[in-house]
Amino acid sequence: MTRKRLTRAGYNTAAVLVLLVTLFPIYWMVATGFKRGVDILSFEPRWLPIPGTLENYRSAIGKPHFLQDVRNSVLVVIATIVISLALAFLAALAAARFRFRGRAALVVMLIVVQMVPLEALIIPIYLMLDRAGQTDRLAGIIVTYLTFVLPFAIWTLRGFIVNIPEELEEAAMVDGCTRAGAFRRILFPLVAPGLVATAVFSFILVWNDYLIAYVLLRSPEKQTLGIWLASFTTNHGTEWGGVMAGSTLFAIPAVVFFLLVQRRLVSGLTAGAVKG
Amino acid sequence: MSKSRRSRLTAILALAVALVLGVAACGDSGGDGDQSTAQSGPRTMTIWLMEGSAPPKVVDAVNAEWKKAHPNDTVKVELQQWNNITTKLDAAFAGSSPPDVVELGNTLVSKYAAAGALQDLTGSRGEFENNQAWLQSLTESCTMDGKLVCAPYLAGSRAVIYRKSMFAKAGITELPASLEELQAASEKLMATFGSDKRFSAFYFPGKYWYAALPFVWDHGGDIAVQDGGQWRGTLDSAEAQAGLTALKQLVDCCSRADKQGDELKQDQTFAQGHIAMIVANGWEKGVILDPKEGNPKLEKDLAAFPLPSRTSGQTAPVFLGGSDLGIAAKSKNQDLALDWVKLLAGTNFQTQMATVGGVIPNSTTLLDVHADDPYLSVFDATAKNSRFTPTSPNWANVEAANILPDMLVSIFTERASVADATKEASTRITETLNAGS
Repeated sequence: MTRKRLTRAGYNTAAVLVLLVTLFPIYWMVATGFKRGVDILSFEPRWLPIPGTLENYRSAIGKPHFLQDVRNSVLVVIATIVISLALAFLAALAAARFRFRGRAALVVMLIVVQMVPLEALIIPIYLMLDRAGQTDRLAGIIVTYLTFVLPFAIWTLRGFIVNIPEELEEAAMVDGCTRAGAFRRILFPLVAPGLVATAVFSFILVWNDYLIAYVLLRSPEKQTLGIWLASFTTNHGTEWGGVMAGSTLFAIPAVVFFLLVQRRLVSGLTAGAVKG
Repeated sequence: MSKSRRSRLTAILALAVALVLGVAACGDSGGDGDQSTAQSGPRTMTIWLMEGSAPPKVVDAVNAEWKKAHPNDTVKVELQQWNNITTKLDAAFAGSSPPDVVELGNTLVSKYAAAGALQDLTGSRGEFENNQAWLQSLTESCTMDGKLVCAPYLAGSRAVIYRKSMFAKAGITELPASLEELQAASEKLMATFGSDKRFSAFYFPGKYWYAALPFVWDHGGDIAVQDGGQWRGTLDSAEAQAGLTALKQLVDCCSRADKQGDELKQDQTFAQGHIAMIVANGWEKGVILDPKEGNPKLEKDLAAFPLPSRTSGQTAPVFLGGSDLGIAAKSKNQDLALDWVKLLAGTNFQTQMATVGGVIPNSTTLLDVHADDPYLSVFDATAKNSRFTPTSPNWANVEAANILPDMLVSIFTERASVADATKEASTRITETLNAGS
C-alpha cells in the first residue's frame, strides 16, 4: 500500500518535472519579451522581468508592414486549411471507399512524396511557379502549401474513413438515403474529428513556415509573419528583446486555435486509434 | 488484382514520381539571356539589400538622386533577411526575373559569379568613382577569371575594443604592441579583476572563427592554397598550428566566454561590465552603447587598438568582411541598375555610409573621412592589412558546414589536440573546395 503510494508519488514528481522542463523555454520567451535590454543578457539570469518594459512589444508591432503581414498570414492559413480540407476529404473518401486500379499505388505515393525534404524541393517549386507567373503572389504560396499539406491530410483522413464501417452507410441507403445523403448525414459527422486533426496540422505547418514564404514572396507588402520574425536579425546583430516579444505575439494565435479545437482534437485522435 | 502485380505497379509509380522530381530539380539550367536594355515606357527596378546594411536615410537619398536621372522609372528597395538568404538567391537567380541589383556578402560572390548569374561589369569599371582605389580584398572578391562581376560596397574589419579604465587599474600604460604583450596584458588584467568569476580579460567565444583567422595568418599559415587548379586545406601546417596554439593559450588563461558559443551576443555581454577586451567590428561600439540593449555610460571608457602581430610593432592581418553590389545577368534594366550601383558605390554616398553608418567605405581614398575619429580610424587602418577567405565557388559550402567553428570548439574544449583538430578540418576543407559542382 505505502509502496504503491510511493511509486505513484514518484511518477507524479517525474511528470511535474517533465512539465517544468517543457514549459520553461516558453516562460523564458514570454519573460524575456518584457525585460529591459540590459537585463536580457545579464550574467546572472533574471528570473522575473522586474522592472519590466513594453518597449520590445512596441518595437515589434512598430516594424514596417506588421499589420499587412498579419493579414497575409491569416489569409494564407485560412485559405490553405479550407481548400486542403475540402480536397483531402474527397480524395480520402475515394481512396478508402472506392475500388479502382492503382489505389494502393496512390496511397504509397502519398507517403513517398512526403519523404522528399523541403530544401530539395523549394527551387524546383520556385521555377515552376515562376513560369506560371505565380511567384510573389499569395495564390502561388497557397498552392505550394497545399502540395505539402494535402498528402498528409489525405493519408490521415483515409485512416478515419476506413475505420468507419461501410455497413453504416449501407444501412442509411437501405433506409432511403441517396449516396450523397449517406455521405452527408452519416460519414461526415463521424469524420469531423479527423478534419479537426488535419486542420491543426495544416495550421502549424503554414503558420510556422519561414522558408517557403521567404523564397516565394519578395515584396515587403506581401510577406507573412514568419519573415517579420526574422527581421529582428540584421547586419548589426540580433535584437533579442524584439525577437522574444515577437515570438510571444506570434505564438498567441496558435495557442488560441488549439484551445478552440482542443476537445475535438482529442476525441478525434482516440476515435482513430480504437476503432477497426 | 494479384498481390505481386499490385506491388509491381506500386514500384513503377514510385519510380515515376522519383523521376519527375529529379527532372524538375535539374531542369532549367540555361537562361536565354534576353537582355533588351532599351525598352520604352516607365520601368520598375528592384534592389535587394540586406536588413541593416545601409541606413534608411542613405538609401532614400540614393533613390532620390537616381530619380533625377530617371524621372519616369521607379526603384523598389526590398530588405532581405539573413536566414536562408542563399536559398532565396539560388531560386531568384534561377528564375526569370531576379532582382536587378543584389547585395552579396563578399564570400558569396564567387558562387553566383561561377554560375553566370552576375553581369560582367569589366567594361563599366572606368565609370565608377574611385575604382582604382577600391579596397584590395573587396576587389578580389568581385573578380572572377579576370572579370569584374560586382562593385565593392562596404567593408568591416575587426580590432580589439577595450575598457580604458580597466587597463589603467591593472597598470597597463602602453597598448599591447605584440602578441606577447597582449598575452601579458591579459594576464595582468586577470590578476587584477579575476576574483570576479564573471570577468574575462580577453573575451573569446569558441566559435568566433573570424577572430581566429588573424592568429593563423600572422604566424604564416592560411586556410587553403591553390596549386594547379586543386585546392589544399593548409590549417594543419606547422604555421597555422602555431597560430592556433597561441590563441588557445590566450583563451585558456584569459577568456571565460562559452567555449562552444558564438560571437553574436558579445556586445551586449561586454556592456554588462565584466569584460576588458573583445575582438569586434567598428560598428559594434554602437551596439555596446545602445540605450536599449547596451550601456551608454561606457561611451568615454571605450577605445580600440589593432590586433597586434607576433612581430612587435606590426599588426596581424585581419579578415575583411563586407558586401558587394552585383547586377543580375538576367536583369532587363541593366542601364538603370548600373546607375544606381554607381551612386551607392560613389564618393558622395560612400562618405555618408562611413559617417552615418560607421562602416569602412569601399575605397582607400575615402578612408580619411574617419581621420579625426581616433576610434574609427583604428578600424580603417586594419582594413589596409586584411586578408580574405579562399576565392573558390565552394567556399560558401565550407561556411555552411561549420568546419572552422567545429575545429575551434574541439581545440578550446580539448576534445581534440590542435594537431588532430586542424588535420581533420584541413581534410574536410580540401574535400569541400574540390567537390565538383
